[in-house]
Amino acid sequence: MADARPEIILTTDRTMMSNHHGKEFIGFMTTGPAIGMPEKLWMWIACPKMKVDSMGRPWQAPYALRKLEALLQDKGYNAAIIDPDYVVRYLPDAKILMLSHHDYFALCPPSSEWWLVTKKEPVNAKSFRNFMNSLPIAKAKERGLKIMVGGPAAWQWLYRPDLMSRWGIDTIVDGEGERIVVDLVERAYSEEPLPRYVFVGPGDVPSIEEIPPIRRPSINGLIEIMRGCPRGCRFCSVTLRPLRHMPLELIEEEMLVNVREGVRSGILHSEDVLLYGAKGIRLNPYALIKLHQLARKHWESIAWSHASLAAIKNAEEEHKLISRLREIICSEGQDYWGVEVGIETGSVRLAKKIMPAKSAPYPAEKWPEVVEDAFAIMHENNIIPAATLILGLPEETPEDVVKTAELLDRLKPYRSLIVPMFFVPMGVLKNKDWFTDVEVKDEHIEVMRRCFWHSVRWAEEIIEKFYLRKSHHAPLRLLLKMFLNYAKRRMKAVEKKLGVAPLEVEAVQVAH
Amino acid sequence: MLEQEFFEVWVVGDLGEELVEKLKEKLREAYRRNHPRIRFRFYYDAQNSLNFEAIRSILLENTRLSVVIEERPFKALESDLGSIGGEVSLLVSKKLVPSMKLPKNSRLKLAEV
Repeated sequence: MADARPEIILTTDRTMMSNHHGKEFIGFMTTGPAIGMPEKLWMWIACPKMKVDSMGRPWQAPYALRKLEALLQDKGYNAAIIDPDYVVRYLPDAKILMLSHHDYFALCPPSSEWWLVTKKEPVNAKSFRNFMNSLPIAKAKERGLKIMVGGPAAWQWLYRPDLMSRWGIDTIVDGEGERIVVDLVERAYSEEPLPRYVFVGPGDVPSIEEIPPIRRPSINGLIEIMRGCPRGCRFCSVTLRPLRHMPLELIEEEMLVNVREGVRSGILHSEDVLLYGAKGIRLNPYALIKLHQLARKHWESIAWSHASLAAIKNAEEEHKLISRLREIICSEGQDYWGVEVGIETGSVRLAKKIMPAKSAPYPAEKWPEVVEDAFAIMHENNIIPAATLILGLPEETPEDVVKTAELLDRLKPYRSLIVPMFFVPMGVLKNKDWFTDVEVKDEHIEVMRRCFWHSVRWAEEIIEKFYLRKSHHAPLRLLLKMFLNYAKRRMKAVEKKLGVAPLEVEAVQVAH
Repeated sequence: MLEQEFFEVWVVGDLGEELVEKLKEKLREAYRRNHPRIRFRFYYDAQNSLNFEAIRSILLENTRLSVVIEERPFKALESDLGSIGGEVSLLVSKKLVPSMKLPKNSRLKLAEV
């Protein structure tokens, strides 16, 4: 885009428009309310303001917005991502305001858990609401501004028709946007009526050729290497979309876009990074090594967005691939890397029902062993996982939850953070406070306590020895340690109130 | 994507339970007929607008099809019907049928709900 005032503004609120001090995992704090400190301080830790240019264009921006920005600019539209603090400057002239978010109203886990546990609205929803309320929308709508909302949390608008009316949302776009957004923009420009809602089904997702390279840096250098997932877990929507592997040329082009503007570290993004170049779930060591060599060539540090535990175990056991990738990643000053993984359940019975292929190539009966072995492999190779598990899955029994608790005990020696999330089937979301209707049972509390103590203990080591060990991280390190101490005190008080034996006394047996 | 062929379902009348069920049936029909896309178009007068609470239950049943939901003013129905290209299922509230003038068109499948 030339330096003209943008006619199409792409944006989101501060909790999304931040690089979280270059530490992606700190971004998870935006899913909670301020705890034990003033909200301003919490926001500064979780989502400091992004550096912008004289036009208010952010240095780094969410990857999905960057894709749309590139797509629209490639088509000749005057579109730009604008930092939320500067949107008001351009609203009087704008034709279209496009919004994206991971969790507009804090209805997704883990925001919903934070809300459930603390009874306080998480900062992501609050920040988004404040942002929308700060805009002179009514005036802009009178002039003909069109507002389109999308992103992974687009579905949430269906639960807030009141806010759709209040903020004058014209169109909800749910799904991959490449094939629909230009159609919508053309309609808006020619003043044709816009659809109220579009769901992009698997048949209308873009081919690789239709996905444009980003033109400016993404948050923390995140780059998509694949779309879709072949594992078919019943609780996941990504799996419905066809699998597409981005060619190395496209990946390199996007790495260079980031590096040229000073974003020298990056995150390889996929639902399962180890399946890059794979045929189904059959790993392709050659493609993975090439990919990581490329990342090493351009980046100072490399992270993975997600990997499956089965692929981690399979990669190491069959190909010694984790060790080989470690040799590539842990060099030139880097000595660990982070990833999100999904445990989901410790119950074989439930695993067979809801995610029979998650353990593949191992049988679902071996799921707990797959999890434990993968955790051991990650521990030995300095991979720090942030793991999730799901409570309240359909057909879950108390015995299933006990199995999850037992698995958590076996994972104690392995450096990791484990976050429990409540599954809430959207079909039964009946009112705006649906998350407070979740039935939390004693066995759920037990799992949540185990996760809490596991995570706070390991968090201390992770902060101190890995994540924030540099001297310039000292203020952040101090604040996070204060938060952890506060959280521990609060948990002990809750345990006392519940009359349950404290779990804290059990020491972590560190694996060597 | 919007210019592609859709399984067209147009609706006149308030979205009551019966109509919602009928729309779910239409969704299943589109599945059976292997249509990759479905368009629900709702015609309203100036006083009414789309009831997202009601339509949510239909959308939640879908994972396979692309879905487009449009809202049109009731006064546009006649001209829209006059220019239909492919097959259109028109679901009309029983209360409204007597007062409506519908063109004779073999591509128009009318259902009273």
